[in-house]
Amino acid sequence: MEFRVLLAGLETGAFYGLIALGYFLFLRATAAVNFAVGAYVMFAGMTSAYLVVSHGLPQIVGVSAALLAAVVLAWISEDGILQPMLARTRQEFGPVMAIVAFMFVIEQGAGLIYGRAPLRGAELSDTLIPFGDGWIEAHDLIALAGSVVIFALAAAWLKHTGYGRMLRAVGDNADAAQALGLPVRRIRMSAVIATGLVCGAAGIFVAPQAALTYQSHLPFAIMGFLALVLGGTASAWAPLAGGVLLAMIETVSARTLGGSFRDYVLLALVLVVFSFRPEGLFAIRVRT
Amino acid sequence: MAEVKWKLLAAAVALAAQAIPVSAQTKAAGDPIVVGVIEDRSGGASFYSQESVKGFKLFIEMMNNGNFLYAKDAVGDKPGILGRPIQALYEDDENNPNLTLVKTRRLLENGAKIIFFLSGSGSTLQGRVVCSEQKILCMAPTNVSSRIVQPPNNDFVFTVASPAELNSGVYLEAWKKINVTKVAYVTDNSATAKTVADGYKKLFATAGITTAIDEQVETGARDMVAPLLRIRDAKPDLIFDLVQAAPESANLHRTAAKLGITIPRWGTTSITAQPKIWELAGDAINGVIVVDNLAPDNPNTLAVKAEYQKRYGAEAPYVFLHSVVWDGLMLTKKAAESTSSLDGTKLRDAVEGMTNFPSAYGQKGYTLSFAKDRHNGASLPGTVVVQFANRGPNKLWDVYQPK
Repeated sequence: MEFRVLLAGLETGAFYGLIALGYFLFLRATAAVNFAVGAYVMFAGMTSAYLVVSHGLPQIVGVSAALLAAVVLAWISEDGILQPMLARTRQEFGPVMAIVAFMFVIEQGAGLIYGRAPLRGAELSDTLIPFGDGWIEAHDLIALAGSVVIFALAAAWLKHTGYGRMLRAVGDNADAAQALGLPVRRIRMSAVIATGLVCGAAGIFVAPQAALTYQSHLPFAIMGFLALVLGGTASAWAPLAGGVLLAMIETVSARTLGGSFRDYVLLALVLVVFSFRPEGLFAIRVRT
Repeated sequence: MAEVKWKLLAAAVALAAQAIPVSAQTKAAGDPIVVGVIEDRSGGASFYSQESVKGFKLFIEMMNNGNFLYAKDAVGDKPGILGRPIQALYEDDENNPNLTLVKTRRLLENGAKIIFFLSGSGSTLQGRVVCSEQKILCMAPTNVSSRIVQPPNNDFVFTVASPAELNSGVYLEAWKKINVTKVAYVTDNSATAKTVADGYKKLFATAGITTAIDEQVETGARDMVAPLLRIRDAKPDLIFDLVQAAPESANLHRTAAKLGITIPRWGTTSITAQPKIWELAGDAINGVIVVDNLAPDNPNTLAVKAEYQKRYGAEAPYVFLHSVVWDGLMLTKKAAESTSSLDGTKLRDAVEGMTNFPSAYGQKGYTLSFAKDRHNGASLPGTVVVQFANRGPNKLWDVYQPK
């Protein structure tokens, strides 16, 4: 495989993986599929681009504001939408649809605040590394390495910290966890904040790579969800595996068959996964 | 003392005479004439649609104030249309042709007498049906698809910009000079991109240009490496960028630069019309060649450009969209003034009868001419070949210019 194709697949895969990790953390904490994670990514990326590129503020301000924005949005999803609804109903459909509605609120909010025109963020480093006849942007490598670090941190948090280990118990049955005396609310909030931080980082990474518009979130949400379905939920690394596999199939098929076949290839992939391994590549094994 | 009194009285009379009649002469008065505008605020055509709307808003304000620049010789100096102020009503069709029909009908229900389509070509192809049904004059000044003015349902719609058919002739002449026979196309999957791309590809194929590769990128595509590597392998004489959406087009050129692809890149007026592409692509846009409509020495262009930049700032990019929107408005005014009517059929007949109408785009002295079977007024001198330099279409291509 050509190095350029491999690199493109890895970069895209790491990005899809981060969105899938956002889904994964929120799912672990709340047992709800949060389709608004793509909107958190878009909003964070546009926030960073708006502040740094459009208004000339320092990168650190843009990065901090992007992370904060994504965390606030995740917090609103949990405390402002999900919890009040779950207090009234045990059905999953209503809260999920409410989150979808919130996704469109974020979309229109981004359009109102940042405008309808595309925004491209500032690279974390503007160094160009000569490669072949062209170059590789240092930002792309930073984004790739940064994504791996985020996965490692998430995996360590889930495995080696009390809140991380208790997260699954809370997600599976919050009432039972409460009865056992676990600090349910604090555990959930820590996962929600982690979701926001992961999505914020994804937004900061992607904004300089592809200009974002307020409508960019839908493909993000779809590809992130597919990455989660592919990878499964066995560990924090599973979304990364799903993201990389998805992106590699997408990139290699685009390279060999052409871009017009992309949708057919992805559809076939999803059908195969749902038919033969609906739990994803890495699933939690439960002894019965 | 008596002399002083007379002088004061004369001055007062002069002031009063100036104050009242001047305002009556230079400002449109009476019931407004509603002009409906189909725009794209949020879809794939929004990046260029909003450029057009920006010009449109300024130009109707100028018209209502009786400021017609060089065109006053052709359209008169009566403010507005028929001395009445123009009031614009806007509807967003999101560049979704299915919405265009509904939105156009809504504009008519809300009193629009004339429709301006400032969204994508795909939208106008749907919207023009309403123009025919309701016998309303419709202007689609910015659209370049030749199909808009071809049957069926073309009897009340006019276009102003040089269409793909005319531009393709210029591309072919230019390519002859550099021995181009094999072209790689890149397009996106939007309705407008498909309409425009199909038009160009068909015309080039008829002229004997072969397709090295035809690549389609997803709207919202994040990565362009794979399509560009396929294009490089196909060894085309040039890459023809038919991507309509600004982020994807910019990404295409950035990735080409990143991969070190040196195959000449050409594009359509979609690139020159969207300053956002230049901004997003940065230096990677330099070198791209486009058959455009703005010549640096056309005094009419310069007059409209000066007004535009007076309003929006000296650095505001002035693009061909602004000129063709101005032309569309001037043609509409001329039709209304010459028939003293807003009846769609009379307006349509008047536009069909216009020849040698001075234009704000094209080469110096360029004019627009229409006829019953010719609802696009453009001709060859309406085009120029420009090359991007310093992140803008700042240079005339030195190999060939249409005469």
